Amino acid sequence: MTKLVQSIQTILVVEDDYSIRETMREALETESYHVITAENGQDGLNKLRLASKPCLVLLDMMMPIMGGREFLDAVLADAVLAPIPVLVVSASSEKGRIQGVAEFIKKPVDLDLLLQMVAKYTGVK
Amino acid sequence: MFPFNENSGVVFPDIGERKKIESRVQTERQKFEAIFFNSVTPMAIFRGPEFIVERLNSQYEALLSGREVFDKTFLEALPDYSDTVIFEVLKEVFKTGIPKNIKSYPIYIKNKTSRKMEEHFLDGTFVRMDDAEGKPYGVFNHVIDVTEREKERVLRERFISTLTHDLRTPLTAAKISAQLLCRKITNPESGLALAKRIISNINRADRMIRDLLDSNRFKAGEGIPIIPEKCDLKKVVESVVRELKELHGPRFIFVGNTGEVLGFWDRTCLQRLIENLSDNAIKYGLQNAQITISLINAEDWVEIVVHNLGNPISHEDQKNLFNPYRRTDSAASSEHRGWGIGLMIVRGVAEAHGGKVRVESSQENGTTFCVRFPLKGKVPV
Repeated sequence: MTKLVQSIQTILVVEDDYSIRETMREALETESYHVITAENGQDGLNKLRLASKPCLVLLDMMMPIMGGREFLDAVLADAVLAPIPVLVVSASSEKGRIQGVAEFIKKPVDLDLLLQMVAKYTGVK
Repeated sequence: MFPFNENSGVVFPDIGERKKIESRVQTERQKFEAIFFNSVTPMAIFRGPEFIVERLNSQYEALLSGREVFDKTFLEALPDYSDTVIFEVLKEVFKTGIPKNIKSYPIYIKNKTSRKMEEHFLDGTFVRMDDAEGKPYGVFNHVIDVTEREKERVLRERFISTLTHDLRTPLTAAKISAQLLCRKITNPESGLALAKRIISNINRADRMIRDLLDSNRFKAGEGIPIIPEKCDLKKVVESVVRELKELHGPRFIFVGNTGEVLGFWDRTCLQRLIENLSDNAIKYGLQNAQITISLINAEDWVEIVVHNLGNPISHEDQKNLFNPYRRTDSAASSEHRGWGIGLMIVRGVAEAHGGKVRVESSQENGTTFCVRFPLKGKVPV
């Protein structure tokens, strides 16, 4: 599948399950995104602050060490990170109870929907 | 009211009749006291609109953690209950005369041993008592401590919530992989890897369903049914480690300097045993650290050993580790929620093979689960 991407866009995937994390990475890389992965909220924050700022974050909620909610609180409290859109991808039924996120996608995820959402928030049409 | 005779005025009952009435009253009082003071459930009577504590049985006194409450008003005796549903219901029942039941209301009771305040849940019945003239006298309160039932309910709800979350995890990985496979059908190498991931994740979901079914068997007091066949335990362990690497990456390593370890085992059940111990190591062990699965054999036994680094399991928690739905304090408070049945299944599989499980856990050495099986002797047929 060919896609016109003006410059390589970076997406941060914060997900504790190896299988899901790696499959998401592969799916996004196939669409020519550059993908950084993190295994929990703390790892995600570290990578957000150290690596080049991504244009989008895909976030799981239930993770060890630091969950999605704490990650979101920290991101929203940081003026530099707060503008980055966050798509929550979660198996929990918390839709509507999570503030400060762009979209909520329920697991099991539909890949086409996920890529549509990603394209919407990265500006890739 | 005494009978009135038009001819002779008031007729007083004879002394024998009065004695009979007194005796009947005495019998009724004794019946009431026998029920009230010997009941295994807490009972109390609060008098008047200020709810003076008139009578309590010993069970009710225990609920109040030995406070001095007799002949005090409700608010003097229990000022900390002024904003509670109990006080509101007392007032309502006294005013309306309509009995009321309330379910699972929380109160704090001092533990006799630890002296710490603990949350309990009560079901309570409140009934107004009237005097001989039909005026409100007070409120009778009968309660049942339903703390255990409430704890079970919370555990059950947490279990269902974790169950649905966990089942969606492998389904998500399998679904995205399958959809990606459709897009990549032209690249056989990548397609094969995705197909393997789909199979591994469907197997993972299937194992969860099986664990769930087996947990019900355990609750019914049954053991895990096994079908032993002759197989090489080393091959079984190696195949599980391969699949764990597929699912969770290269952090799993197998250490086994043994040759073939032939015996009669249920291959599928042993796979589940190793998978469950490994899942625990992933969930509660140090993130990203190596997880080692070893096979050690001696002349008459063989051990499967699963080791991870990370916070230790306290001695207190180790006592309940293998009980259904009971999770350690550290596990229950962690973000990684579990079902609380994985280790129960490990024990069930070990015992069905005549084996035993032990755990060693410390800050320095991490946590090690060892499952020892006899190589001779008790092998179920």
